[in-house]
Amino acid sequence: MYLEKLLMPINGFFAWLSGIAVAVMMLHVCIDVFAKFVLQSPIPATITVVTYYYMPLLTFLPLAFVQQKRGHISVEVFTSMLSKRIQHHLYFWTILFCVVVLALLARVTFGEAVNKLELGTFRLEQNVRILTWPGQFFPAIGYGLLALLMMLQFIGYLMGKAPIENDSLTGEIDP
Amino acid sequence: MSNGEIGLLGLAVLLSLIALRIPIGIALLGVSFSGIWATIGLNPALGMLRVVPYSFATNWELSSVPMFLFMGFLCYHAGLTRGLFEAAQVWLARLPGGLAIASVFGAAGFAAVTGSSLACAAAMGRMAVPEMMRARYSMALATGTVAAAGTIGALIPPSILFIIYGVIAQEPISQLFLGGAAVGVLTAIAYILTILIWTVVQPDAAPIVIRIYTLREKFNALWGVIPIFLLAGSVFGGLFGGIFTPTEAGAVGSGIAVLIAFFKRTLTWNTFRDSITEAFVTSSALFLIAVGANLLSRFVALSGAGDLLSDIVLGVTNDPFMLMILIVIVYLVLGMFLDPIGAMLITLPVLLPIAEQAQFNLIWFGVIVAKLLEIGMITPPVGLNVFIIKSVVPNSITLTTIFKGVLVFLVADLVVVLLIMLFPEIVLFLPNLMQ
Repeated sequence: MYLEKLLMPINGFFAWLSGIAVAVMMLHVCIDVFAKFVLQSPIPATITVVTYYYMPLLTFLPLAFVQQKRGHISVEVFTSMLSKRIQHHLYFWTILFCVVVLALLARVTFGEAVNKLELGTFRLEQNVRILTWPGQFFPAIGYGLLALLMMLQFIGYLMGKAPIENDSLTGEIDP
Repeated sequence: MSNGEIGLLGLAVLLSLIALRIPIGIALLGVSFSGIWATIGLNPALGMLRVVPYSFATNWELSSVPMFLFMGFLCYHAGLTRGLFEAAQVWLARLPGGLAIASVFGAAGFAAVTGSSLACAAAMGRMAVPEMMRARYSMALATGTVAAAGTIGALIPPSILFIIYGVIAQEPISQLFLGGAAVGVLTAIAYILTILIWTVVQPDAAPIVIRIYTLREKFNALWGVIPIFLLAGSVFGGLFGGIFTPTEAGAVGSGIAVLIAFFKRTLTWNTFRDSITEAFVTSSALFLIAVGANLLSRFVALSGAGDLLSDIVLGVTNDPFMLMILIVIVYLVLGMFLDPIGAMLITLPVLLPIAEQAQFNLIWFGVIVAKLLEIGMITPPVGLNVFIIKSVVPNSITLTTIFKGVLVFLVADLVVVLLIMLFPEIVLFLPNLMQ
């Protein structure tokens, strides 16, 4: 928690956006259901908006926020047998592997998003035309930000700014 | 090195990386990409990496996941399910182990509005354990009951495990839900019988509460159950009646839950914000793994490691029952260390092809897998339900006490697994009716 603090505002902003996406998605689908069964006229393109906007947004944009909350699922039972010191060093060196994988993902998904932008991809649902390329940028942004966050965590560690934590396995589960 | 060998090596590297505490999703992505590169070349591997994340996230059926998560978390944070345990407590007060049985009822009811075993266990732990302490129950019985009963949360629909399984195995989610409901109810019955047997063998583990409720009190208690019945009724009525898609059912359910919490005056800004946050944090963490698992299944298929493994396994035994026993053992062992969704997503790319070759019914198979993964929530050393109970009960109760209590319920669980293996109709009866 040293250099990575720099990313907190943007993570917080994306967390807000994702929260709004969940709430708006719920409202949108509820109104669509009401319009479909009561008014006999569904809101056009609900499925497209849900799958091509809300879903990629709330799936990818909070990735770094989740990492800051230590919310990504990993298996601690084997490393917990090692001493706290070794666990600490191991954790930061394995982060490098993650940075490589995520940076590559961000790079290729960004290329794909630019392709789709140039093509101007869209979907037709009930004769309504909805652009689909904007959502293509969410994976690139989400993976890229997570890679950056982990890189900053690693640099903080190299600079000796990452204290050895005393977290226990049983202490931090939140249902 | 042959492609099949690359595949097996990849799986070994994957397990090692996961053991080093690398987030499961990132390990899956890294290994699958490198494996596909080694098998068919860099360009096709990059091509898959380019399209898989986005195309996976834009799946209509998966969009039910954040909706059901939100509904469950809201019910939990706004305390919408309190009435269930209270009513069961009033009605079952005179049974031996009545409070423990009431918490199984409470958990089964809560399960109908949440897909999370942890939330279910935590809610029951908070409500029921203090009551059982007051009544001088054995702490092993009290805490073991709520830890085990929590697992019903992921069996009775809505269940996140079944949505993900349905998308990966391409089986209808509503049929998986129905199969899961049957096993959830069977599990609840097995736990209730376990409690009754426990109290017969060791009567002082659960002293009978001498308090007589009037008929008026009994019927008053039922009022508290109505909101949950209304909520679960509209979600499942719509879903199984073929009116709603899973996403619509989840969204309408969430909407109703918000309204109920509003009218019960338990809807605060913090409750709402926490439920929303947990919904997208859980979805995001889960989809990171799911995208990786999607890439892994491509790698396993392309490298031929899937065929190689199924040849090896089917070479060991041709008998479907023995094969299933092997799979049960694999999941029981994995369940000791991994969380259910991670364990499911890592294993399905390898085990689904085997199950298909053995001509298992994939609805039945999915339900058994879910049941086994939920058993993993209460087996040591990593039993997440046990840990969550530990975090909501007084410090004087040790992890060992809870695990001791859970052990008794594990016996009941193994009987349930054996029953659904021997009589697949238990699982398939309801889904077949729907067809």
